[in-house]
Amino acid sequence: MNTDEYLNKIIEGVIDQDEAVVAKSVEEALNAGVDPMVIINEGLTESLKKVGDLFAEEILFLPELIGCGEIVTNVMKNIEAKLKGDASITKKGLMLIATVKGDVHDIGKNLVVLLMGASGYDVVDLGKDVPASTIVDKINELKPDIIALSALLSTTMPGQKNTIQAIEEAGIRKKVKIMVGGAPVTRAWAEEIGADGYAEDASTAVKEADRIMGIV
Amino acid sequence: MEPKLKILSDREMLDIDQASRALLWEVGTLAENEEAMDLFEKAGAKVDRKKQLVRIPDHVINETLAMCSSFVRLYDRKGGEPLIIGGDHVYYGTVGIATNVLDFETNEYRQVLCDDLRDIVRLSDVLDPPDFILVPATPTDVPSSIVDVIETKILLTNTKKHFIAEAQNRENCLKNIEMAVEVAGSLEALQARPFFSTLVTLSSPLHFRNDGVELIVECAKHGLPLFIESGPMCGGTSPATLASTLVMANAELLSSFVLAKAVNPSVPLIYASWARILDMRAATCSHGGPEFGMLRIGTSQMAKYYGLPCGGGGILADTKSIDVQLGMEKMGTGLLPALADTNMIVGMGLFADENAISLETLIIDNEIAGWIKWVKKGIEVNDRTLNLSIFKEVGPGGDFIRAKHTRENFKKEMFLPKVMDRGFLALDKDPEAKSMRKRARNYFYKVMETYTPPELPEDIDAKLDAIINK
Repeated sequence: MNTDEYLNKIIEGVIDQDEAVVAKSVEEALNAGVDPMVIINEGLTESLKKVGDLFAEEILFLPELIGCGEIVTNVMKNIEAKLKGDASITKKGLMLIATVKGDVHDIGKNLVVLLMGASGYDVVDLGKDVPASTIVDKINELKPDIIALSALLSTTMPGQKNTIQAIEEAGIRKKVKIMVGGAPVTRAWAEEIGADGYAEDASTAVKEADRIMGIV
Repeated sequence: MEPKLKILSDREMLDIDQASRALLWEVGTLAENEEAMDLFEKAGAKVDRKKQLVRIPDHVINETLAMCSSFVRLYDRKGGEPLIIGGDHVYYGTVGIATNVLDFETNEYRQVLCDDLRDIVRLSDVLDPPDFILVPATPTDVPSSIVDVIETKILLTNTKKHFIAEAQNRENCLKNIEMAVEVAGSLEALQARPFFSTLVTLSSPLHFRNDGVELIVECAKHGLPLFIESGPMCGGTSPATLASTLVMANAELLSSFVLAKAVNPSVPLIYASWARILDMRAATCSHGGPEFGMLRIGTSQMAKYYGLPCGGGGILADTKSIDVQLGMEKMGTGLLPALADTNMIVGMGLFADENAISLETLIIDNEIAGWIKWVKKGIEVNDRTLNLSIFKEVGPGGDFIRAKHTRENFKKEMFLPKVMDRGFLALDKDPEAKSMRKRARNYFYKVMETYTPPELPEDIDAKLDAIINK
């Protein structure tokens, strides 16, 4: 089998939510000498993009999207464990994510964590109801590439603005890219508050993160 | 006889009851609040302070239920008899968590302002139903830290109907009470004829947050009615089965009742629920599908299983347009709970999956609620309605339209729609000429002419503002 054939088996296995098939196909591909980063980017991460499209077409539903995300997360962990010490596994970047202060909704945020992690990012989840000051402290401590802020109520959306202001006041705005999301959030709001990116849901969040990171 | 609807058998209610009690004992509920943990402990619950986990033994639930009333009496400021919340009394109310309004003039969405809240409160005041008013819109032109007290002020000054207020913390809850006392004349007067209740929205799954605790404690201390809502999302904040979602709501409500009664054994409590599903394509909760109606029947049956007054979300819609979907969703989710004797059905005026309010929608909801209330009257079979003398008077082959009997009876027997269109179709008719929306808009102008504001002292605004700005 050539590389494309291995990759197609991986992609189909994810879409079919068959973890055994995916694990086996990945192992076969590794043994055949396919570059682990190609397996990850063009097999696993690519499969989630396709799953995201199927979700947008209402062919796959949320629990299935999550199931695919978990399969990819597990398989990626196995690859990393297998190749521990091998410097060829690189992450796209580090994302810090939180639901803003006053808001305890986190189902959507948790989906973003899952899909971002399964798409090649390291993710630190600060949880919900997170004050701006905590986020500023964590940026200084962990030096992330992207900050993602979630708000589900129009009354808590200002928390996204406050957080961006706090980051500016701390003098570290230029060190990070900031993206926002959540049901009442719009691209117009994102622009108004000076965010770099906006996404409507977890799948498009991955695309948007890639875009603002300059990853094609 | 009134039509009745059940979705749970006696055995099924027993199963849900025992599962809820088992959940509260074996799993428990989080209570991140020292005051709450103290109260639960005082009531006999087992409290793990480190984990902030409260486990409630069965007997504590029984003791709590023994302190609960089957009826809550909610007054208005018109001086008459109260709404009797309990038994088979069914009332409809507004709700408007939304910050978007479908503008009456431009037919475009924009943000809700205080003027919009005032307008929809006034429309809610003249229409009947709503029988009571739960805050029908959320203004965006005031700081969010005081939006709840501003809402209460607008309600106090624009309607005399019973209203359900919101509060986001203890301080604002106390301000609401203080403003109501200002209008009532004294706390005793307010307690004797409570003209407002307070909404408490519980967090699922099984999680008492500070704001919920503070509201329960303060309203219980003051002996003022609490409308406590549990709204787990099936597949999101409760397991992905409808039965488990009923268990989740039931457990949360029972535990909140334990807390409330531990503060004051005579606080009036209403068992309410917005139990719903998490739509697995849109990743939002859904309030227009069959499950919403089914779950409401379920939560109301569970309330009645314990002999409690009940309420919850109904007459709602997910659609973002005033269209066919609105009609079917509102009717379905409005009718089902009513036939199950849900005492307080809240949803009038709200649509677009809790995201938007509209004056037109409220008028349409008034028609739908009226339609449903007519069904609930049932068919009267008695001497007035089943008298053979009119048959004999008109005789075989005759007509009844001209009979005095018809003039005397038709209004008692037939629903008279205000905005539904009927009549012959002529082929040259424009299909849109008499659309329900158009008729609702015309009706709006007519009905608002009958609005009169509550009589209040001239300095009431200043007095209420002083309380708000403390």
